[in-house]
Amino acid sequence: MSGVVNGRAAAPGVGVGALVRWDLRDERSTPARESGHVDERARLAAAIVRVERELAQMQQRLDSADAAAILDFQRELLRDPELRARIDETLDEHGAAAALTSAMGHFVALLETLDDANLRERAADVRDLERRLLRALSGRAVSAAMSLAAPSVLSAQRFFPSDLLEIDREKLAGLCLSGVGAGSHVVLLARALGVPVVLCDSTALRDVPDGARVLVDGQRGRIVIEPSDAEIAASQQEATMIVGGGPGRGGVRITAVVGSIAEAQAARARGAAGIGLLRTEFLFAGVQRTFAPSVAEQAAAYRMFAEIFPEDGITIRLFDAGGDKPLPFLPVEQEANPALGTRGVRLLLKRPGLLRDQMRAIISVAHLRAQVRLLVPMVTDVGELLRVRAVFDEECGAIDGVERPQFGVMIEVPAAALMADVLAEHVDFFSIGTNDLAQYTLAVDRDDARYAAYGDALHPAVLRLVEMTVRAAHAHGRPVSVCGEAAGRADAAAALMALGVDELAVG
Amino acid sequence: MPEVWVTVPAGRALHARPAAALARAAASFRCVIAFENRTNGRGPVNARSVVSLLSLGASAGAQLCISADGDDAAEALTALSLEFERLLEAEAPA
Repeated sequence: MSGVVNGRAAAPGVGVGALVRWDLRDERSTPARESGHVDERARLAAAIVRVERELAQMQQRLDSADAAAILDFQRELLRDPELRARIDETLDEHGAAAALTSAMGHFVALLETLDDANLRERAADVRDLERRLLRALSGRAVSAAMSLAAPSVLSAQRFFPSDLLEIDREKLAGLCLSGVGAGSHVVLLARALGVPVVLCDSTALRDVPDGARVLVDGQRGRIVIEPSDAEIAASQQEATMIVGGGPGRGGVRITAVVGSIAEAQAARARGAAGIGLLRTEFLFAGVQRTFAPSVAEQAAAYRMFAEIFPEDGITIRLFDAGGDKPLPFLPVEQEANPALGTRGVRLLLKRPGLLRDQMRAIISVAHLRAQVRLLVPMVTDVGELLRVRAVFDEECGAIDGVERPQFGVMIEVPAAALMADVLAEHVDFFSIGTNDLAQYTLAVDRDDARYAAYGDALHPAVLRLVEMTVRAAHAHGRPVSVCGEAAGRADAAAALMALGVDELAVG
Repeated sequence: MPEVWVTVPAGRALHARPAAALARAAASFRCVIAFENRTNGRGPVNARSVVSLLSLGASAGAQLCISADGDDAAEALTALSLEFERLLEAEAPA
């Protein structure tokens, strides 16, 4: 059979291989009670030593900070006295393997009760360590379990970081995972290691026979069954083209979405025609800050970005923070629905001092360099827009003879798109955030693996809102840019350009 | 029993990296050290156990009580409270 299965792109790249169903591999040896409790203690001790050595060796071999952090945690777990104590409780009676499983199970359950998603994610790391210890106990050689006969695409519901680290990566063409989120450790690791990943529903590949040739397109988020050579070539070419950036077609500018100097420099090297979105919240999030950065500090930072693109424009977005992505100097109380709560411009309007400082910093950079644009996140209605515009006008007026930056808003909420004609009167440009717009329009959580295909920016409902926004903007002579995953996909980009979008900001 | 209180700063949480470092630091002392999350009632837990520290679910604003019992208790409390502040400040915001 041939065909296409749609999912969600989680790690970029394109790979072709034979389909292997990972979960059905014969992995687990039944924990059996061995005779003599002395043997059990010795076996457990030997297994722990062996796993510690494996982890240490892997840490040395790998270049990735993410991998190192995950392994570090597992090494610390091996030394955990509470874990050992719990294993000891049932070791004599039930044997090493059963005692281990029950002790680990207890802590996994404990971690899964926590509110913090990051902490809950650690339960998967504990499970991962459990499997590693069980394997060491059973004496099976690790390498035997992880070898692949030919270039393979693995389909799995349960796939752990250590699987990815140990598997024969030369032969790993790509992964199709269900049961994990886009932010999970195994996906982050795959990105760091350059392995393409598509997330899809657990039944998506049900009808595909084992060993069938499949293509994993981590760019578009899809799996092609029995792809033709032409399809393979096209996918690989698209992947290079979008990542490469370069001049737009038909007058469309291709700019970059950046959150650091390094990203800006890389974008410049690729030929991006400017910064389509500077995520300022990323610039001041990596250091200890319980109070906001000063005007001078911000101005210096924004100037550095402007200097990387001296002839092109840069678009600086005000701090976009909220309940689900807090900044230390922009805290938000706990909310039942952070996606529907205090975020974006709503949060900024509650902190007028901070808002003014940031605007001043951006205005000061605009004064020195042409084509600086200021962008307001998550605007929902014209009242909000007018309030923030009033602050902007005051700050511009306060400095004599200043070159004013252009003023624009993000369209990422359906209400804003539907009222784009009203908003267009009060702005110089729009920037459509398709990730959030798709989420709010289709009522789907971006990070929910089950609805990976739902949140697609090519959904006609989303495209209609884009079209509405572009029409309203152009009627007032304002340009429109698009940022989001869609801007970086060849098929979506083509659709957006056909709708008249003026700029694609690719991240 | 001597104790010292610390607070998790805004935008931070007691995640795996600081928890692992705290557990290692606690192991270097002779006294028995416990952490308790007075904000959500979890604990007290053994400070040498990284998974127990995580299970406190200590997120932004949480008030933690560190207690120590033994010869070097005072030294341990000073060292751990300083280490706690240093580690959490160094964390990137979630």
